[in-house]
Amino acid sequence: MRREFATLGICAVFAAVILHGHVFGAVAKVLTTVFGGGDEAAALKLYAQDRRTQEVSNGADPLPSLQDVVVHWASEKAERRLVVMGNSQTYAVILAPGERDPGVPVQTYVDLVGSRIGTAGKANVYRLSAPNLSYAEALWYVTYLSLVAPVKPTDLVLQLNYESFRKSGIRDGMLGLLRDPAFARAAAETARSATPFGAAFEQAIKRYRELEGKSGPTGDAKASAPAGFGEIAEVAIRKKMDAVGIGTEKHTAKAEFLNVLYLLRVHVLRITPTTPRPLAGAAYEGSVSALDEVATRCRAAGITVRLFLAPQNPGARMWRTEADRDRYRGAAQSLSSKFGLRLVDLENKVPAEQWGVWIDGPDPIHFGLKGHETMAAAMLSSGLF
Amino acid sequence: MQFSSYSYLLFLAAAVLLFWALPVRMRRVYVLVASLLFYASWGVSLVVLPIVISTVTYGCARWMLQRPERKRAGLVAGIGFVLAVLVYFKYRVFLLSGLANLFGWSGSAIGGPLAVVLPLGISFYTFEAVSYLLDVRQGRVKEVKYVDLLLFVLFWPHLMAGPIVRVRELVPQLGFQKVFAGPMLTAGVNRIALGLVQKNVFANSLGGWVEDGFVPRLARANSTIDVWALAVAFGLQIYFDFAAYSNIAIGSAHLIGVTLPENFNYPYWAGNPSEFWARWHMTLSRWVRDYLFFPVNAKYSGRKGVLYLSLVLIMSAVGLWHGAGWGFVIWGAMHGVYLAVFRAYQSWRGLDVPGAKSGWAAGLVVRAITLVGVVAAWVPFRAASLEQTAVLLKTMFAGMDFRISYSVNFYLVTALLTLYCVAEPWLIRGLEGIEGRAKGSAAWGWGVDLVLRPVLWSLAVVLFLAFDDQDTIFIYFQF
Repeated sequence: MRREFATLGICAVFAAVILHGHVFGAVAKVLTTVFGGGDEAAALKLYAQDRRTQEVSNGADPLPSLQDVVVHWASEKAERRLVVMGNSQTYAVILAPGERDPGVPVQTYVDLVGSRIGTAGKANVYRLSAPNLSYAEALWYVTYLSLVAPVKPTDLVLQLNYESFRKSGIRDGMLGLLRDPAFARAAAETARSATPFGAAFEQAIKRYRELEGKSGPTGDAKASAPAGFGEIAEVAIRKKMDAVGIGTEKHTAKAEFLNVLYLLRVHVLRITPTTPRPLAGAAYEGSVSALDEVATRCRAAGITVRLFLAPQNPGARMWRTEADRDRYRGAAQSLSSKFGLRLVDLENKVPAEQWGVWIDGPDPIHFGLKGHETMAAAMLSSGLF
Repeated sequence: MQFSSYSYLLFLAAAVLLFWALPVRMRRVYVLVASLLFYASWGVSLVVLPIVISTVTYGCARWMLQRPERKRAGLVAGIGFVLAVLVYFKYRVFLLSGLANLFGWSGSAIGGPLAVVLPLGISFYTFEAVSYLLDVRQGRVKEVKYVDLLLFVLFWPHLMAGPIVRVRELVPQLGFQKVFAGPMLTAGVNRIALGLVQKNVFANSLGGWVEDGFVPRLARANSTIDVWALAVAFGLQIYFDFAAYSNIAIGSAHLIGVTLPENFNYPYWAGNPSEFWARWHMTLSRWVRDYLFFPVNAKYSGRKGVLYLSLVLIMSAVGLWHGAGWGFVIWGAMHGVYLAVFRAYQSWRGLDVPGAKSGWAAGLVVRAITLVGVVAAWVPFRAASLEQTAVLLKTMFAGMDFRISYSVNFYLVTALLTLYCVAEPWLIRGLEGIEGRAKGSAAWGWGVDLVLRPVLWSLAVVLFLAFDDQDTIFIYFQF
């Protein structure tokens, strides 16, 4: 019997070693060494941060940032309040060949545009972005800005990106907006609509309830079942675990484990960030309907919407076939025509040598330092602002 | 307390330690109190209903034993009460809505508050009560004890979602006479560790994608490949979810020296519909077989048409048992049709049935055909409406759109877990082989106990911790 208890003891030691020793992280490093791949140092870590002009959590917990910026807008009283919304292309830098980490906080193209417009006139540019932003998430944000925020933006400059049309759903981090009762009411109303984006809102609200421990023990019981003492104990235990740091450790372990799986996908299955993807089906339909609603809500709230087609890396096109590309461009054109929105095509504005290099070669999403400058210049000259 | 929650794992550790510390004579009452505490953790008022059902069952069972000439009346009264409770809590809205639709009544004409709280596990403990009464009627239970009956119904590892045990399996173990032995701990932790990974890592990882893909408003936007992938993903999700629950239940019982029956035996390896039901939710299958199908079979053994029809009707009822919705009924009916067709084929050919024992190539073909049928049947089970079911099944079998709509990771994870399912029997057999070898060799024994097992358990613990952010309830808790 002693041996069985020894097994349990050794198991506890091993588990602690895996968690604290970042074993999955070490495996990821081994995979990168064995298979080769992008230099992690190429992904810059140090960025200029300003809560008045950026949603600094990048979708991880945007409510405090949005509440802050609304207060800022109210105090600044600028003539125009422009929100730029897009994916990680708007806030991340992957160094291009020959570029070096400047070692100081860098500005991305939205920052550069904002600082130039801000000094030239009475405009305030705010970057509201998130990695892999879906258009359901864009609508989630627009719902807050158009229906809830006490001071609304005057303009929305929305990035249209091939990859974003393939995304669906609303991430956990953004669910925090439901803490605002006015937003929760607006989101619930949208969730009731018989639309694809209504389904995304419905899922998000359901997930928020799960995470907050507000759901009852069964689907039928949700409305009336009180939280049992088991649930109260569970919440207390989880809080205690977070307090002693296990919460952070397990999140890190998950991220590192998923990274191992990702690297195996890239190196073993050869499904890389630059592998072309088709554009069709539910995610695409959902994106189109969400964008339609973004335009409708902005029009109702008096917010001017402008669209731009995000740059594509000439060395790493994302569409699998020309038909996929046509579907993407067609959706953008159709949205622009339907609502009379200005649409600017910046697809080829950043030359190949200014894009980052990552894992399997040219990064399909992010540009280097020079690329951001080029993009800022292109945006300023395009009339988007 | 969900089985995959920290609160349950702490409860279990404390309950097991105290169990072995107590003298044998106190263990029965202790397990009963622990079971009530476990159930009350969801809501204190919940414990009333299983106690009432057990008490009425006890009264009817005693009456049946004391008045053998009135056995039938006791049985009808007992089962009638239990089923009435089940219908009231689980099927009231379904039935009244159906009647309202049929006769054009307005909602107010139905009367009364429709949203009654569905007590957790009601489908399971009512089945236990019914099987107890049937066993008394058939003479399998000679003596009725109230505490035995309460423990039989309320025993916490199987209370919420099975395994559905038989009186003769569980009651003889409820004396809790065993002396603690190391292998009980090992066997229990093995099953619990496997269950925690199956739930948190496998089932929950697919759950989000399945949830997104089965949104009714997007049904028509899914391509043929999407719907097949979604149906396979749901089949994997529900398998891992329910197998996880069963493993944790069996493991928890092991820790106090009780052996519960197995619920799964690699069901997606089945070579025909009959074999599928001998491998999937095995304790429900044998319940249905022994208490429903065998009596019907005995009565109509010469009339094949009636037997085939009874198969479809019985399986439809099994579907309805899973949930108050037409989708569940269709799922059951599809399986009933599969079983009836298979029986007819058996009857026609008079040959050995195609199944797991067929030759390699033939076995692969029959398994593939069975799998297609099983996967297709998951669609009505998961879909939100009959309309969505029709759209998805049409896309699966008549669609010609082979583009993929979702993240490539969804298809990859589904494929990876499918491969795991294929390899699972060999993996488990391999581990059992190593354990068997360890019993005959001291060096292997030390290696297994001090290296292999700690490595596997610690990986399970870390993955369970890492993937615990999805607070998703076990699917079968809803049935």
